[in-house]
Amino acid sequence: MPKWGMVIDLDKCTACQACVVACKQENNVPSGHLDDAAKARGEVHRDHDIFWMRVLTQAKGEYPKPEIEFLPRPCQHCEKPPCVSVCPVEATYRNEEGLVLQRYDRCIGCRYCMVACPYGVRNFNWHEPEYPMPQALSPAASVDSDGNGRGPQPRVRGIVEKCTFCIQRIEEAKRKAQAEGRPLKDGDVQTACMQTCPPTAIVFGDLDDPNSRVSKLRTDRRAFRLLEDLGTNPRVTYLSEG
Amino acid sequence: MATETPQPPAPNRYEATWWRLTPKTLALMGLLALLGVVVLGSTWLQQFRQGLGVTGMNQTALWGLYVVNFIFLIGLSAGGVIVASGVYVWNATRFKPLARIAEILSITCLLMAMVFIMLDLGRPDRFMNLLLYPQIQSPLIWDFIVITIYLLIAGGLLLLSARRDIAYASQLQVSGMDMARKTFFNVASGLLGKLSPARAEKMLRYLAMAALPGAVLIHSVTAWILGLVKAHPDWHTAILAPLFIISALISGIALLLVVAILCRRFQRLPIPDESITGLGKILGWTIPVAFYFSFAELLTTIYGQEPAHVHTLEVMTVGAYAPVFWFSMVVGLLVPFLILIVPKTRTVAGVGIASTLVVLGVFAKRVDILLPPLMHRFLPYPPGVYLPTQVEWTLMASVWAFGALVFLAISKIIPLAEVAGETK
Repeated sequence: MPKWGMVIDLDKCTACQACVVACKQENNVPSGHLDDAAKARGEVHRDHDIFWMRVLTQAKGEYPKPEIEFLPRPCQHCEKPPCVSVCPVEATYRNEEGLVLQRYDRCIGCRYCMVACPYGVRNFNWHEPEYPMPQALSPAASVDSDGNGRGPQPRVRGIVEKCTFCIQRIEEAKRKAQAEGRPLKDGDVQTACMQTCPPTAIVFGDLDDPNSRVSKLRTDRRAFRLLEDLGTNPRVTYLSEG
Repeated sequence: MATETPQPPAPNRYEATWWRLTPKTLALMGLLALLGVVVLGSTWLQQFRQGLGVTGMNQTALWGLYVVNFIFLIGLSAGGVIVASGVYVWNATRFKPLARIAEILSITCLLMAMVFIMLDLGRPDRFMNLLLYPQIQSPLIWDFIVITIYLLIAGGLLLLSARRDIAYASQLQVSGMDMARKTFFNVASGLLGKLSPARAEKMLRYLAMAALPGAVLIHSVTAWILGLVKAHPDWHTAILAPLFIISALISGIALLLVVAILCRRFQRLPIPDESITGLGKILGWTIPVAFYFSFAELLTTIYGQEPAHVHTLEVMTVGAYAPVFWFSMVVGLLVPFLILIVPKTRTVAGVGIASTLVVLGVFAKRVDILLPPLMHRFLPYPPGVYLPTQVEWTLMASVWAFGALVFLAISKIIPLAEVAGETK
């Protein structure tokens, strides 16, 4: 059984946002709502935009040596996810491969999981999601054990959605490997953000395989994880000379 | 006992008039129904159709006015029941004239809280999922279970304590009462009449004993919805539940006093002055406990200087939420405390003013507990803002109108004071 994990090398990241765009296309993440855009121009900006992958920025240092730091932020896919235990209807769960997933059809939209997530990776559909070009929707599909669509499946208003580590690509790679009669090997699964990253800052793979690139990078001396003190055990590791 | 026919009471007294639906009462109920049913329903439908994006809530302020009201109302409900069950458990006869109002208020507040939590859901149409796929680890499910049990206890408490009045009302040959209520009185008194007086008294005592820890539990669980979340450090403290309980107690007593004074004034309810000023004195001496809990929390935060805690504290006391914080501390606690402990100002009017301030102050406290900690984020997200929209204000006002309607309607079925007299 694979244990999926990710390593993001912040020393390589150029904050080009390609991962953000690739994620939006791959997973049919709705574009911003026109109402919100108007509000942002006019009165108060209310953050209603949905990002499964988002690049956070933080200014550091003082003049004359100001610095800005970038942090690409997918779901951390915690081994002890605080979001899962608070969900009143088990709409979010952690599967046997360690992916934290969302059941779109069961979520009642209470947003408790979003309140409980210390990383802020979860998103709520504040409006009916708009897909301006339905013909351009990603056809990639994933179905859970109850037969409900997940991952790129188009959403409805009033529910929570989040990064799945591109579960549809994981399933596709498994199908392919099975058809060819071989086990999955390192590099078979590439998440959309990893595939598109120009400086190859993002690496995805199986943490159970000691020879995979993620496993090796995870023991790098530059490695750290976000908010480690909270005891969530994220499956995303960052590298930084810091 | 049951064979003697009750004497019709003197006209114009509460005992004789409580059930009457005067044109004034009907007009008020109509107005409340317009706001609390029609406006509530249509605005809610609009919010459901367009999505919660029509509210001021957003990616940072994930919860807003609806959850503030939910927490506030659970507290009011718990506070009311603590007073009512205190009367039955310790036989505090001085406050018996207030017990009935406390029971009806606590049921009303619970119903309002349930409406508010429904308003907050993105998919209220999937509410049944709470019954179909409950996840017992979730504090929201604990709350759901506790609220349901508590509603049953509060309902039982009300019916049992009002059993003599119900029997009395069914025996009274009042002309002009509508069929619906006549039927209710006959059925209810028939059912309650099967209990022997001694048995009913015993059941009432047991229920009151269960209601007391129940009231503490229901508000603790509500506090734990926030307090068990480690993503927001200012919630994640052990003092949160005790702090909620003490705010619940003072706001519940204060609301009870405000409503009692209003009912006394407008419905000629026979409540002696001493009941009101006596409870006002208790309220006054409970306020320092609230101060103490807040102080313990602030001292720990200030002495520890942990960045996340300090940041939230700044937002609360000198930042965007400073007016709310200082209002709750000074106008909502300090001023009423002074009014209530000085014997000269502890008149019925003084208690009324102080209690109103306490209710408003605790509401402000709920805003302060929910929003600044919620809006703290560990990772460098852009700072969030929360300004409730007109939809939220409209829905909030209409749920309060709905609550007033429920209270008024119950008070026309079950009298706010014992009308049957002491027949033992």
